[in-house]
Amino acid sequence: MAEITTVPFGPQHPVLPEPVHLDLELKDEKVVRAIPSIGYVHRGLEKLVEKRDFKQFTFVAERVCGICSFGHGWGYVKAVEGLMGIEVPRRASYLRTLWHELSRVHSHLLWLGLAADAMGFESLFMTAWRLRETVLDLFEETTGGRVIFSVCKVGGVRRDLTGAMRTEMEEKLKGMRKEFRAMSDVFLHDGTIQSRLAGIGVLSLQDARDFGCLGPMARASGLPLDYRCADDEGAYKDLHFRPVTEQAGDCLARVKVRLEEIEQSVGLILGCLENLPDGPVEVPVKGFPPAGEYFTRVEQPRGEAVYYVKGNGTRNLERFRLRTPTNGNLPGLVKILQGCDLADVPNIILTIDPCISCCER
Amino acid sequence: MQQQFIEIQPDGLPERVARFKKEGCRLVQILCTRVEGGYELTYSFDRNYFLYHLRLTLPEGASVMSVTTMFWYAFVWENEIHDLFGLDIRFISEDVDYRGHFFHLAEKTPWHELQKAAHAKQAFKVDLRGGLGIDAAAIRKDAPDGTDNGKGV
Amino acid sequence: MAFETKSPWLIHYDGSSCNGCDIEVLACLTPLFDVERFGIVNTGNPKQADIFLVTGGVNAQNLPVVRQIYDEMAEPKVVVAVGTCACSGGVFRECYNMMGGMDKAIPVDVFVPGCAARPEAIIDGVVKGLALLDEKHRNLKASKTYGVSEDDPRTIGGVRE
Repeated sequence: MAEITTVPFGPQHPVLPEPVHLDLELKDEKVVRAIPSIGYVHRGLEKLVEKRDFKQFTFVAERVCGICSFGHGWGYVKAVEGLMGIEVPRRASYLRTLWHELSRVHSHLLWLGLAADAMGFESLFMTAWRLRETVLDLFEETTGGRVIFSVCKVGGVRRDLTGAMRTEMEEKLKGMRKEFRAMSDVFLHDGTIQSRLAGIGVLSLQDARDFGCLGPMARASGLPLDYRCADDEGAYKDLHFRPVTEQAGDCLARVKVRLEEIEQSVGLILGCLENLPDGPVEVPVKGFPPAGEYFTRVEQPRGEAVYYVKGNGTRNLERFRLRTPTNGNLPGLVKILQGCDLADVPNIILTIDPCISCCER
Repeated sequence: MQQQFIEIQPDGLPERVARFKKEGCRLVQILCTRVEGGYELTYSFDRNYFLYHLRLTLPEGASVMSVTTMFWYAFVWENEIHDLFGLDIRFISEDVDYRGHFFHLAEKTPWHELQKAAHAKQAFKVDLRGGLGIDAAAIRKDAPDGTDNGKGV
Repeated sequence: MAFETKSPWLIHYDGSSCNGCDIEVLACLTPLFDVERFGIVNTGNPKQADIFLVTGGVNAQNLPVVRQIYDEMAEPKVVVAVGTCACSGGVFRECYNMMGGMDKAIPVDVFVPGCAARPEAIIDGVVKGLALLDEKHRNLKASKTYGVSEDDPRTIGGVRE
């Protein structure tokens, strides 16, 4: 009988772009228990609402995380708009959906690259990130920023799409989709990737329910949990959105879900461009948020995020709270790490797509 | 978004949560807010994208039962509330009770202080001191183990 | 020109930030920006690194981590603080758990502003850091005790305490 050895993992680790620490209790090569410890990125930005104007805070909310930055901005303004009873123009909702889906494509491509890098597949990492630059170019062209572009504001969006931008976006996305399909073939059929991912870190449907998993992680286990189905603000209802699911629940299934979601998101963006309604992109906002509270949700690339705002009639909000998807996926990660090999730990951690700065805020 | 608030007493929490668990609801989040003279807790449950919120108010110095026996993954939020607000949560499941070491903060329970109403007026004053690396030189000299790499020597 | 400056190795650590600058640092390594044409390679090991690219501010928990990575790096070394948060604390300066910019923890040589810092700016910062690295290398070689920097305040009379 081997003794239990504790191996620290992180906060600085080659596969982790962001700091998180795990204490791995090992028996020989098998992980018996993993204890996460967080707090390396905790800033306490929720408390900043007391010092910032409710309009200024949009910029802080976007900086919760640099990868899903647009979604956090959207979630925050959606909550404030709900509290103030502002109806956003339809064109603005479509544009928000469009940028949100573009963010999802960028986030998933980024993640696919990192996952390939964790396996040591350097050229695939480079390919994925090269494709991602197409999306960033589109962001830069339409909004002016690359990763954080502050285009959402209370009452609408700051920028509008011109006709030339629309045609160029369509062309570039169709070109990217072609290259992306070639790349996804490698993920789906390459022997090395199969042997590194198939059957590793299996999360059953029941466990996904019991451990409160969200987003692609839950969907890879067959749990069709996607807030976009119930979203009433964005364009998802008009575009007949259906969540992507896989049944296997292993690392490969999580890769497959994300590959398919990129395809789906490109489809949604093209649909948005086709059906983009005419009209204004913003409404004037007068006064301060009234006393009251409001909950809202947004489906981020990593899963569902919950936003809560509480106003008191002044220019500052009283409370802002954000429950991020990684926060909900952390218990699931602890579960799937139990019983895996030490060598698979980096892969498994990456396949939940941890976003630590989201998680700790 | 479709939602419903249910006001309950702190004693009734475990029983209510157990009922939600039995009906197959998912615990979405636990929210803690400081209010005058105590805390306000909101437990949100989801079923078919409908949110049910259990709302309870606790006086200063009170404690509340943990729900980790029913929803194990609630430990993330319960530990967070304990660390940030200083609210005592009893019987967090033994294997995931961090006992105040979940977030390592320089300042303990930063949310415990009630928000000052004066903040509202100060919001527009922006403090521009301590900008781009201004205090770097001062730090290099007196930091106990800061090393000076002799820039410009 | 010293050997280090021909092929400097990078180590990257994310402090307390949103990860906007991190992904831009990684984007520098990928085909569009491609810092490998300057011989720059990303490494995960502080002992092999010459340039410490650090994003985000300092808080109580990551302060020892940053200092440890800095101490583990061999002389000569250059620290490049990427992004407004690493320069001064940025939008999070007034948050309760932020101590400020990276200069509160370790001596920073090059500050790269921007939120998020653009890859062009990061590459420019690294190239500026290379000139410093070269200078530090020469100083180190010229010092009597090779291997121990004379500029290090912990060094007294050529002997490290």
